[in-house]
Amino acid sequence: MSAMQKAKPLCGKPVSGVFCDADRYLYLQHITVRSPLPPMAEDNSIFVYVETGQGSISINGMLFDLEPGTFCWLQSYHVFAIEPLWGEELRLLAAVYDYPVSNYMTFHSTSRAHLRCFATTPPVYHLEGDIRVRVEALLDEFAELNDAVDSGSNLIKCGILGQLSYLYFALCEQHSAVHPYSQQNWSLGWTLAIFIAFYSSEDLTPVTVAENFGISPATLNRELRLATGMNFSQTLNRARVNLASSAILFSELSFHFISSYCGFRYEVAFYRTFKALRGMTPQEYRERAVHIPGVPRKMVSESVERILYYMHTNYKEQISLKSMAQDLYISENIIRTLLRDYLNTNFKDILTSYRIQYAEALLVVTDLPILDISLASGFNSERTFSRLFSQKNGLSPSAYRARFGGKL
Amino acid sequence: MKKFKYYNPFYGRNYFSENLLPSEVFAGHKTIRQSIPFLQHDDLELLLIRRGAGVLTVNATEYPLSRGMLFCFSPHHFHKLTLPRGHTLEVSECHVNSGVYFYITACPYFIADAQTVPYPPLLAILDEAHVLAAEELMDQISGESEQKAVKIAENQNCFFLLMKLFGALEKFALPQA
Repeated sequence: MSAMQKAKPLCGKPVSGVFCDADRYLYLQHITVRSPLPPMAEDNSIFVYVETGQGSISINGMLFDLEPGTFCWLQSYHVFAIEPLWGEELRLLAAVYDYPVSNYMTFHSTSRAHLRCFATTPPVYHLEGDIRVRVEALLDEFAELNDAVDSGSNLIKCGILGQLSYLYFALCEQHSAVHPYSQQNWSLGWTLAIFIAFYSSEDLTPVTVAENFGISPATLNRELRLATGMNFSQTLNRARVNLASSAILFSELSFHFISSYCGFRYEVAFYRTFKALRGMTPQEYRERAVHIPGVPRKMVSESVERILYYMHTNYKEQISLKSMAQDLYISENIIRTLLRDYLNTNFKDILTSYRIQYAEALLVVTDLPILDISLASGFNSERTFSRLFSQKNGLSPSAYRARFGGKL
Repeated sequence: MKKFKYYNPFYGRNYFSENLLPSEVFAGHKTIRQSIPFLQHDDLELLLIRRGAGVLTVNATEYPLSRGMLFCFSPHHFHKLTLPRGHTLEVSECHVNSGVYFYITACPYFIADAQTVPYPPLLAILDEAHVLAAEELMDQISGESEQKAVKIAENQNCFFLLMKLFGALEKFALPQA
């Protein structure tokens, strides 16, 4: 076995906020690099694509070449420094794929195959042929929508980011055996940084991790500092806080739950570490995460989606707030609050509007009696139906049919 | 040596409930040669007009068809197609359950103008460049499904494609009457 590769030491403390900042979400950045950039440790994942120019990127102490067509997916546990060749100019495209959104997009816990991709292959690929054309086409599509911030464009941009990640995993699977860099022995610092990031929710101590690798805690700290510029506890706290930040947009996850699943033994320790690293409390961070300049975001509530889906599939049945609460295991009061807070409406209004939409369609398309239509669309009686219908449309059902229907 | 568990966001539970996701997606390319009477589905149907002409009646409104129209039908949209004799119409269609719409509107970057009940936009008219993009999306979705229903939970790419399609629908949606 050849000697293990030595980590390339970092110069200086890693900085953050260069590639991803609050105002850079869903935005394709064109970055020109003429001189070496300082080492960076970002809080979200970033896709980087090299348009022109030659250079190198050092990630956690490993050096990779950058050339036109190089595609990287940098994660929060990567400390990287980008350097153009002397006299060259690197033109980069960078898009932030923030963790809350990638969590929402994958909707399943990360699969083992994907974790293996992250763990066993370096995040740098030199693209060729078909896949390069596809990545470039996706980036072009993104660039076209760069300045559009309406909901539709945002959805398309999220979809493009998802597709980029999908292509990345496809690359990993194709190349995991023949990746140009997987032949080398990785530096210890590289392996340690990935290990700590992946197992940060466990009860890690320098002693247990060092034992796991057969080294002493002092070597562990030294190797980590060489590769990432941070020691064990700094690396671990950063990984945990990043994990916590990725759950911040999901309103159903309480901070108590987040702190325990990120591996903090006490909630107090979570608040303290979070404040030390982010400069604000988790509550403030959650508020800032929604009201960011540039592209606004909203909180994701699983319950609201479940409530709406339940109502949309069952509105023709005899459902009530009580029966829905029982079926969804959510209390009636919580349902009321959620609908008021998220949609500014209530159970009755949603149900009635779904039912009346359906009844309107039946009125103009069929010649069923009004009583049958009111029963078919979920109302109990013709009277209730007529009253609610006239309230909404200003017309009685039969007048509505006379005006809009009758073209059969 | 201590065995470490794999890092699992959300402790291995699927954050969004299974039944909310589009469990299955049917997509395909069709050439229609004759008129079709009123239809209604309990899921959402996305319909892209690729070539040809005809008249589509949705509830009581008539839409003369042309290339680049992207419809989204909810359960309360009864629709029928009237084709002049001898004409054909090429369409792509895609069926998903309404959970997909609710899931997609849950996207943190999807900010509706008015916070009301999500209501799928009915019709978007795409320009030529976007028609090509939408056609490619439809082809990719039906390519992924290969004539049989595809399970979204096992096919991430399909979800991303659907997301882009709904994005295009939202972006170019005509204002509702």
